[in-house]
Amino acid sequence: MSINRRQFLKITGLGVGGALLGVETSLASGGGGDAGDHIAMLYDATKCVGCHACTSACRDWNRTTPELDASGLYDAPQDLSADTWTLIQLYQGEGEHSFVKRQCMHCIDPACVSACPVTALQKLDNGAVVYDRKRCIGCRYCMIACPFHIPRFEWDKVIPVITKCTLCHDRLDFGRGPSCAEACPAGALVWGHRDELLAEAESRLAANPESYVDGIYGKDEVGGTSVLYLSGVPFEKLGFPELETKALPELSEGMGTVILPGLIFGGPLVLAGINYLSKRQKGEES
Amino acid sequence: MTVSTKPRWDIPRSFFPLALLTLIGVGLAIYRLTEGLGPTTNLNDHFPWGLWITLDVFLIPIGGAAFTTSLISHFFHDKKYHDIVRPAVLAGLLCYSLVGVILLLDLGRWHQFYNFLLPQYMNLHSFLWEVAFCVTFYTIVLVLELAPTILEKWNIEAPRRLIERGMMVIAALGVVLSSMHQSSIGSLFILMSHKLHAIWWTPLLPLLYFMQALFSGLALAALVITLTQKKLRLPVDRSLIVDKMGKLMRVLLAIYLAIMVVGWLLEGELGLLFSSGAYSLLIWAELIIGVFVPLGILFSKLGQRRDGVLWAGVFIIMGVFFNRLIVSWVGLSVPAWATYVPHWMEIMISVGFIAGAFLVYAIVARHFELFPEKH
Amino acid sequence: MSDSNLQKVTSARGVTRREFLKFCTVMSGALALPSAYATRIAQALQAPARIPVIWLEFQDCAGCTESFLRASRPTAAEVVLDVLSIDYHETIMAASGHLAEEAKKQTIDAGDYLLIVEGSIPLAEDGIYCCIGGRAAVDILEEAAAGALAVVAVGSCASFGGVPKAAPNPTDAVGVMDLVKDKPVLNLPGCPHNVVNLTATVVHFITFGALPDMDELHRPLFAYGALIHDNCERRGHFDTGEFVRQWGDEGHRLGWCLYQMGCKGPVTYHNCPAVRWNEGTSWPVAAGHGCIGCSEPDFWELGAYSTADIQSVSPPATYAAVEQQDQDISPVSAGVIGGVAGLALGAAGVAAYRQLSQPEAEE
Repeated sequence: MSINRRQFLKITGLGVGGALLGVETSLASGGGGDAGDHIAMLYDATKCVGCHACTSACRDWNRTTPELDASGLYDAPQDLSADTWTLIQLYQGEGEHSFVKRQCMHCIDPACVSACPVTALQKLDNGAVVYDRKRCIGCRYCMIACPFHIPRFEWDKVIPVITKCTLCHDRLDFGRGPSCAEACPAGALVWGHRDELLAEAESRLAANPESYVDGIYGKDEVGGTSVLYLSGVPFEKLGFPELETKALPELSEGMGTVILPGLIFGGPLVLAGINYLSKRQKGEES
Repeated sequence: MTVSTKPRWDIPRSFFPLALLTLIGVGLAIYRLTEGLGPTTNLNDHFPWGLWITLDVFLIPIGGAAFTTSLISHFFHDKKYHDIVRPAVLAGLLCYSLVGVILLLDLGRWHQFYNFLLPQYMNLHSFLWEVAFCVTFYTIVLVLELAPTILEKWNIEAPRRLIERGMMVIAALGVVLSSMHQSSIGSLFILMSHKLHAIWWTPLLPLLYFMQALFSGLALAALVITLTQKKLRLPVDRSLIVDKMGKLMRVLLAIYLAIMVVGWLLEGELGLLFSSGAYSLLIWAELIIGVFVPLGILFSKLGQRRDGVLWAGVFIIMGVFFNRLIVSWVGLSVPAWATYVPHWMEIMISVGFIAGAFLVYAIVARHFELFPEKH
Repeated sequence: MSDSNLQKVTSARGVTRREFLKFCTVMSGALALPSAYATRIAQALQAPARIPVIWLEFQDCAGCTESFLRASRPTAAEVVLDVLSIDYHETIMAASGHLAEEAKKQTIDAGDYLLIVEGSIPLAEDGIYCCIGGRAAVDILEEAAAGALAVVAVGSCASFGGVPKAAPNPTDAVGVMDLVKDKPVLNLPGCPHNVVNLTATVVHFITFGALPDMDELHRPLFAYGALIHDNCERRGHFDTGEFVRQWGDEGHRLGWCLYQMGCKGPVTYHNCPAVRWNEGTSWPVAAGHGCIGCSEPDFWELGAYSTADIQSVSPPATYAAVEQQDQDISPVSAGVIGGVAGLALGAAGVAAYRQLSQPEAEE
């Protein structure tokens, strides 16, 4: 078999195969589109009284195990965990305080969805980011990728799963709202369509500018999230990271659309070129 | 005395401790698979990735010993590299096998590990998928590249000749797959612009990680080749190490340093090298150990010595380990009170399987022809 | 007015010394004082002094008097109040008409008395909307306060104006502290006040010769220093989100928190959960109805069934704190990495140096 035929086969074979893979790789990412009618939640920290009705309701609906406090009497989780998918935390500063609710932000273009190698995390049409244990391999890349440090893992199970708030998507199907939002007695947590909640948040900011820090957290952060926050104290004090408006998957998928197809298409060509040139050089030398 | 006349039952002293460590590692690994990650690791919600992932993302670049030597041998047609391709490929295959085993132990739902190969589950946007996919097929490529060595011992001619004829395509596939996943390991961390410390995060991570694979792969290749030749009492090719590998390593390392500095300059981050407290110490340690010391050796008279090049290689490999350690573990932001130190079982499992890799290498080196040209 | 030793009085009434001392201990508890003070209280109460009291009622419903009369703890509290020599009290004194007014005048002229006021004082149209004996309440108060040692306003009406002050407040009702500025005024708001707190205030006054420490609304801190929410026996349910949603639902039967039913505990300062009512029988929340905040000014405006707007935070110590993601290496990690790196570098460095500083070995 001559070198030329071998080289030809190599280039075309790899090139064609690479073309197919490259085209698929450069497809647009999941999520995005019009998120206005996604189901969302608005949490107003100035109205929250720290009563944990939401945590309780979440436990009830999802049948998670309470995490007892030191005296063994009360359900007092300190942090999100495999058993706690939402909780209220308290910020106390100099002469100021605020409660803050933590749970999955259900980002419009989620980093976890982009990161998961087996599509175990998916963004549904109603806006919820949900987990499929049949697909998950337990690699925990989603835990690393999430900018809000949300997904948790069942470390003590032999066959563990990733856990996080599901936005009660099983209730959404029946027209009910997330159980935490329906439980809130103080009106701090409400649910609805994202564009309606954004409008509501804007009107609250306009009506009482002195009660709030200007801004709706989640409106634009990492491309926007479905859980929106209003607060009376700066968001960093509540543990929210300062994030850019660019969705995280756009960062990495930019690489995907350039580097990988480049390598797949161009790699064989470059190698063929090197092969040809070095053979010529060796031929001249000998 | 040539290798092939050694009686099979002549077992060297190093066999027993290595075998014992391997057995312990295997036993603990079974325990891990049956009891879960909780009792066997110190991983937690704030440190979901630990020693095993760090080892994986370290073994992959140094496993680049295979594709770098393969690239230079088959495409640059350098005969000196052609002579030493086999031990480098073997070392690469063992590194990737180690990665496979350790990764499987790290997966929480390992019983479904094959899901990433199923078309309906593949996530083409995920760089972890890309790494897993490419590593899987690249390992097959490595097996094919090593196959002639194995097949010729028992004179299984037909498949051996088939593979030899297709070796250019196989090697090309190997180079392309390697380039993809070596850079994708860097791309893995692109998503973490806010979590990974600014000194290490850069959009150039894929390129930097690809380069690390090149020069640390060469470093490992040089070490493996030299040590194997010494153990087998074969003549050592000095000029390969000094004139070719050493020079190539220093050029690549210098370009790598330049890219890093340019990256910091463009982002205005040079000041961080001094103002980040403990992180400044870490980056300087990484630079000194992994870049300055080896560059210093390679560009000086010591670079003319074979042992100089090899020591430079040792420091390069240590530097890459340091870098991968920081990026996958220490450099990620976590709550101040969260902590992770590897569990002794994590350590023993890792040590056990690494010992196993050494053991397999030694056995193959003793019983198969790694240097066909030398006899 | 007659002098008498409390010991003699109590034993005459059939109260044993032990019961008397127990009462003094209870009083010291009610005053939030260490139990050692019980002795001091006993001594004070045994001293031959009976402080005269004038009890005025203005725009009131006499509910505070009724509350006061519920102090039927085995005669000991009544006895103490005998010690006080109540010289004028419209509802319970035997005299009436001119004789009653005469008794009051004598007490005022003698001076050194304690003035207790019940009910608000109307100011509209020169105060004609409450006249006793032909005189406006505002004038009666001015005259009585002039010679008093201290003024105690019992009930929310006397403290802050109370229900008569509710919009549109046609009589322009005000509380005592809006009128009496030159004497110490202590408020015991509540609708009605809790007689235990009045008894304790009086005991404090007798023992220490001064009114107890007050907050900025002149309420004694021992009784009004803490929110009901912070002493409530149902607080645990609040903190774990167990709320009554409807009267009679399962949560109600289980005794869950009444916040969503309008309980004003989180915004009300009073000691009802601790001392309770009717000799510690019960209090509203224990009975299954939320606090209405009756010791706070303008409490009716809070709305009995709208949820309280919680302002001040006193979460339990176990409350989860906000989690900040730091970019600092934990000392443990730093130690481990530093150690390993140092070892590796050290070992490699030394070995490399040794080998490379010697001439290259021949093959």
